[in-house]
Amino acid sequence: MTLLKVENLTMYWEVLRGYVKAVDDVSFSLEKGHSLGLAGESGCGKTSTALAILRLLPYNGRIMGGNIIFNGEELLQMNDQRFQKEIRWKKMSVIFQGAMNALHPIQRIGDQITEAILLHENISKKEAVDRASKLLDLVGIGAERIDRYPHELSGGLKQRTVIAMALACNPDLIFADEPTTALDVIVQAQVLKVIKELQHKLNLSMIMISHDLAMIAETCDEIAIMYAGKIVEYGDVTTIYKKPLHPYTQKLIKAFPSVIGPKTELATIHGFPPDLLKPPPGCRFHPRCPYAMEICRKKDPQSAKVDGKYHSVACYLIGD
Amino acid sequence: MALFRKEKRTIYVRKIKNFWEEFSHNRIGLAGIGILIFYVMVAVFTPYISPMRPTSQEYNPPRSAAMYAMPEWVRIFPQFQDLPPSFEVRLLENVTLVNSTVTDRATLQFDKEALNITFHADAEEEEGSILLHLTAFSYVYAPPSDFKLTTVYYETGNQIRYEIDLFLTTDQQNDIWDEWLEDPTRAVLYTNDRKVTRYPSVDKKIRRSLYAGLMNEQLFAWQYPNDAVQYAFLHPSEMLLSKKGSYDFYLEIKFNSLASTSTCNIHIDTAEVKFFGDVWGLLGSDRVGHDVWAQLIYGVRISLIVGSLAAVLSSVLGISFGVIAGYSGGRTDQIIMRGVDVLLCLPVLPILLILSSYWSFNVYYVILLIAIFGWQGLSRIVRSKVLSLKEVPFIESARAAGATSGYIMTRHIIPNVLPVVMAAMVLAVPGAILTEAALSFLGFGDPSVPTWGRMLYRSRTQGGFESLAWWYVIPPGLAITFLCLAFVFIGHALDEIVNPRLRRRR
Amino acid sequence: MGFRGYFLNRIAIAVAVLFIVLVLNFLIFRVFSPYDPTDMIIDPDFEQATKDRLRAEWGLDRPLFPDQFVLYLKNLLTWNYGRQFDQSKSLIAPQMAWRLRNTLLLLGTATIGVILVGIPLGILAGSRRGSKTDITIIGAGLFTWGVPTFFVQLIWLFVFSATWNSVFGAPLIPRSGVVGLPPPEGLLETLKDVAWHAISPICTLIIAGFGSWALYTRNMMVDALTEDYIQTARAKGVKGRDVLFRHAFRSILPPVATMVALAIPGIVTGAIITESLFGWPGIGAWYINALMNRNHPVAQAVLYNYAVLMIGANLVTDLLYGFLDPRIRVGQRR
Ligand SMILES: Nc1ncnc2c1ncn2[C@@H]1O[C@H](COP(=O)(O)OP(=O)(O)OP(=O)(O)O)[C@@H](O)[C@H]1O
Ligand SMILES: [Mg+2]
Repeated sequence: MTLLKVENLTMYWEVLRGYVKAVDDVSFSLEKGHSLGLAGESGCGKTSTALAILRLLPYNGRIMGGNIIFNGEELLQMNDQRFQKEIRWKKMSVIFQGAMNALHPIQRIGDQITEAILLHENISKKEAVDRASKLLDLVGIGAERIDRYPHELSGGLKQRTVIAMALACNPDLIFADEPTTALDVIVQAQVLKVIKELQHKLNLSMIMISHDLAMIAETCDEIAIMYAGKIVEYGDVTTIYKKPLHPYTQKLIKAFPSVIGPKTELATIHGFPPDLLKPPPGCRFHPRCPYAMEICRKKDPQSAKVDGKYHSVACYLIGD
Repeated sequence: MALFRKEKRTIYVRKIKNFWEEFSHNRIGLAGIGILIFYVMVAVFTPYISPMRPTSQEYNPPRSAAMYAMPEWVRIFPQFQDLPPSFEVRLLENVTLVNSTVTDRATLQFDKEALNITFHADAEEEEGSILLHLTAFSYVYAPPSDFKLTTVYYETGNQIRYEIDLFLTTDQQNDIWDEWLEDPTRAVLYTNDRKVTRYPSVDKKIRRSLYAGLMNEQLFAWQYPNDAVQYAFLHPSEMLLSKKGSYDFYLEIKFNSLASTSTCNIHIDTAEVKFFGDVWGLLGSDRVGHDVWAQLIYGVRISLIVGSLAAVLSSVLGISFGVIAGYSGGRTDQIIMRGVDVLLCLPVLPILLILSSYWSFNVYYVILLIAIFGWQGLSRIVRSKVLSLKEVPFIESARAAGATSGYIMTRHIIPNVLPVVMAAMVLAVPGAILTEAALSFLGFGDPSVPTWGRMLYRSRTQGGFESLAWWYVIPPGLAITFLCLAFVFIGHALDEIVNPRLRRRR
Repeated sequence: MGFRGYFLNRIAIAVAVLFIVLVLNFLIFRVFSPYDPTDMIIDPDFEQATKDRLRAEWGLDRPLFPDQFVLYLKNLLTWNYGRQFDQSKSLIAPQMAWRLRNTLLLLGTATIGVILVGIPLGILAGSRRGSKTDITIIGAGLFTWGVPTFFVQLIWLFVFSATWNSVFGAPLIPRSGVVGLPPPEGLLETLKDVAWHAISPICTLIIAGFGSWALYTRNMMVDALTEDYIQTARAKGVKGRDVLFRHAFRSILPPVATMVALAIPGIVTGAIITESLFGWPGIGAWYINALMNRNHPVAQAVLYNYAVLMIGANLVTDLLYGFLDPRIRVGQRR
């Protein structure tokens, strides 16, 4: 069953000098119980995509088109109130990028979690507190820390609190926006473990946003590679790791050190990601692409399916 | 090394350029800079903008206008059309002989500067009179509230009695005013019909001068330089200059010899009437008739000096103490921060007041005191910034590389602290200006400099309110306000630039 | 160190500051003063013997340290300020109590008024960042920051006292005092009359004072509203107003409380001038008079009370900060 289907989603940031084309014609879908990794360089529009779906856009975000179908319902048509009450946090919640600051600095963590529960469910305060303690246990903080303030917790525990808060209403889908950056390696591993356990225990669907391909490989079933506001390659994780087709994906995977694999020279991608205010015409990757052809400079390549159900690539090299 | 330095310089140049780029988009900041430039220009060109210098009230300098004269331009309003401006009439400018009964025995010399009359008598009880037309002027205003007549004359003579009468006539009304010159020792009240005679002293040149003036229709003062006696009596100017029209001054001298050979010489070298206007200049006058515009314009310099000096001093103190406290930590930090706690608990203005009531300070001491009591807030900000900077890798590595504390403080810490505290430093300027203004306003400032606070103090204590002298109340207040606003605007803009989250959305 | 340690530390500091202030107050009036206290109370024409007797009577014959200093400490700490250096030689304490009450009435209501006007405006501006409301409030805030309080008051007096007087024959606002003369009968009438007398000084203090509070609150709010935890709250579904007050404002409450402490010197300063301008019989106006007439015991007593007032206010805000911000640790304040 398809949980979330995003079709041709386009979202621009309105700025003084025009539009920042941060999400351009993005499509993907997610089965229930599956996890999708969204990978790409910094600034390519990963967070923007999540914000657009969650309807958390700040004042200057403009959705220009597309469809978001969640559980068979078109989210873009739904009114704000209902979305707030019944969808966001209840059905799909989010672990924000930089979760260290996502907690209110002078509110007890228990209160912050209960607040989320009480806003969406008609249960008594006591029940909410009970559930919050259970959640804290679940993520490995321990219910006894329910009265702590964020500053009394370590970074890893704070991150776990944020995860617990995201789980507050038993959502079907969680967006995790770089849940482990800003943590040190050991704590990263611990938090990752917690996330994986939760996926198993609760049969969670996740959209994992990260530029850490290794982490995505560990936690996700599918992966979408984003470049400059567009998804350039999409498919299941093993296929893409084994046989990346898009030149950008190839470079990206090479640029990542592999702990297990043989020692290779790390590749770097020459040049800089484009300015999304004025993205290059044609394929947005062509200025940095070693295989760029004439057509790449003129026409935007459409995503095309390659072998089988999942794998699709937007590149003229592939296909015909 | 040289290369390194050059690179560093270009970094600074670029930083400054970026900064200016940011600043030039900030309208409030630009408005602040604009106002400030305006004030600085006024301070630079002060003598050209106000040709008059402000006079202090400590001695009695010549006044320019009547008490609380309105600004000259109010005459465009019909109800103030008739108010007289300041002007003077020189009586000896254009003397003509009207009539003389003694042409053979009297000699008469006059030019624009002086008038010289000599009279001989060959017999006892010989009489003679000379009538001179001094000057004509037209008076087209409402009766003046304040004027002053000054005559300076020498006399030499022998065995003769004379009378000098000064007449003021008009075509509407005859003989409305005469004025008598009289013996200083016997100067008493004058009425319109009393004529006083005097005997010249024997062969002795005496210079006497005589002032007559009228202020607010109340005070009629005669003043002799020798003994400075003043007499007052009611002398409504309406009697003298009640009508618009042309007026003439006449001088009549009557002689009466007491012996068979007698001579008399009278030499008048100053004779003028000054009308102190009820309108004056751009901004009228104060309680003692001094120009308000001059005080206002010269106040710019003082306020700029007070504000910037005090702010610079207190910034230096605040940054030094903050950096030292934050960088050294430990006991030094404890001591300095406790000192800051103490200073923050002191009621600063009351202490400044008591100190300036002990020693009547000049303005530089006031600046110093303001700085001494004004650095604590800044030092707290600086300290917390330094504490966070101390952990930054490049400073740790500099320390590890063996750089001395002094080097690290001056090369690394202070340049990084400055942008953060810039806003606070700029905002210290209006703080200092307002404190000085408060001191002066309470009458505890430096009495010798023309500050806006002092103007407001005088407007309040010298009847400016009762006289509704808005030109003495509002301009200095506005001047303080806008000068402070300039710095507040700039400080606000800096705050927005340095603190990116406050940055205006574009 | 927990809350208790923090509190004890703050109280210890307050006591230490109080002692330092007491020493300073003694030094300023008894050691630095270019005037001898005897000049004011003893007629220079008296016989030497009489002079000596009077000196002994006032305790001025004993050494400054420690005798006079100890006596001074003992007296001030027991609210015994001695007698005035003037014709009446009356006791200071009773008048001080009355005037202190008047001053506190003025200061207290003005401070509360400024907070009640400034902070909501700041929240409003911060929550509508970039809007016309925001720009208006910023403008007004900056303007009232630049304008001297006494200028606002002068204008007020100029309009409602001087001009009103010349147009209508009598000033609109009372010239001076806390109540009119003769004092009205009945509690309600008295309260009304006091309010009528207090309204001018308080209004002008609020007009000239709210700006910096509004600006400060606004900037803090703008800052807080960009924090990640606000985004979290929104995402959780917290309603707009609750985001504003329960989340954003709650998080800036501690620094706002600190601002109260930082604002107190300004308010004290403003009150001195305000009292003398509006003829409000508080300690500020008394202080100015005392300085002009070299009535030093009065000035000394007032200065001491100002310092106590400020130390107390600082202490209260410190403690408040401790309650409001659980992150507080000793020596670590914003
Ligand atoms: N509020 C905004 N207004 C204007 N532009 C924005 C805004 N937020 C993001 N952008 C721009 O949109 C583009 C995509 O940003 P986004 O945060 O989605 O990137 P990201 O892939 O999440 O990067 P990172 O890995 O750094 O989190 C960037 O170029 C960014 O500058
Ligand atoms: Mg992101």
